[in-house]
Amino acid sequence: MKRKIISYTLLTLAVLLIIVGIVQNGYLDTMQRATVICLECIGIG
Amino acid sequence: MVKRRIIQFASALLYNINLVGFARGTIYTGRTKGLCVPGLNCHSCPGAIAACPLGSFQTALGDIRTKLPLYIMGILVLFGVLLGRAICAFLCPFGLVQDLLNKIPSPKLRKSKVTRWLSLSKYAILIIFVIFLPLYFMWINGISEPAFCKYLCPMGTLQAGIPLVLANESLRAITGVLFQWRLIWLGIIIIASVFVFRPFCRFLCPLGAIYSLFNKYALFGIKVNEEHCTGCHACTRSCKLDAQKINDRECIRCGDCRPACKHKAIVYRKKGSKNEK
Repeated sequence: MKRKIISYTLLTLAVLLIIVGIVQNGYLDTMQRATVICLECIGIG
Repeated sequence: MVKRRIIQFASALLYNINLVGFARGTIYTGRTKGLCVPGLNCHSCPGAIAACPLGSFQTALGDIRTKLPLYIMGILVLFGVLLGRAICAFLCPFGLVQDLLNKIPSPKLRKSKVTRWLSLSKYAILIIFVIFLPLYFMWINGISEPAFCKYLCPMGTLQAGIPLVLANESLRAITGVLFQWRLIWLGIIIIASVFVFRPFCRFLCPLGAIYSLFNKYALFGIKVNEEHCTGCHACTRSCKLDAQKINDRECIRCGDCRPACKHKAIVYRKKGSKNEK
């Protein structure tokens, strides 16, 4: 029962973080960074 | 096992469905890049249609003076609490690569107390390379550096670095020592994967380290039915990873232990049901 409460609390927290993150433009920031080639990631930068 | 392999191949293909990018030497720039996939999958891969959660988290740390990376943190917690390390078994393309490499006939290094201890090193990599170094470089230079992606991520080299450098002449012209290091590091991990089962997942992967924190509470997991379990530990003995019990931090919920249980006590089930160990 305790595990179940923790699981659903974490699930709620995750959803809240995502919603607040989207409001803060987290989705757009992620998209902008992921749509340019990350030179560090490919071993050049 | 066959079902898991199909899911692994399907997810790897789905993450990297922009196949035309490999021929063009360019990356996908659509709106789905704002979403993250659960596994380690470089978003600079020409085929990738979504972002890597670990890469996104590191780059988002660069903006920490103005905003916390709540969106990425939420995604990581969501994936963790839904699936835990089942992501490593089913939804990580590099897990699939290592699984296939380990199929090559060769002497295999078995798990031991040493490998169990070494499995803690991925938490050090998470703290040092994913959190501390990007923040440190931002503090010193004013610009964050994704240290794990830059120095240690084999997936970035395999699925992004090599295809882009082969297809894109301008990128090929600016490769240097770092790219050579990345090739050597990838080679080491590929060779190690032949002799050791999933060495990157077990000892190095910070994404696995994050998901392992949620493994105990993940909603999807393996259930041990207490009524059928005799405590013989045949399941943990058959495990090729360093799990000491089912659903502990090293258990990736692959289900490969199920055939080892003569009493059929191990089943995939949603958490929270009765008689669960």
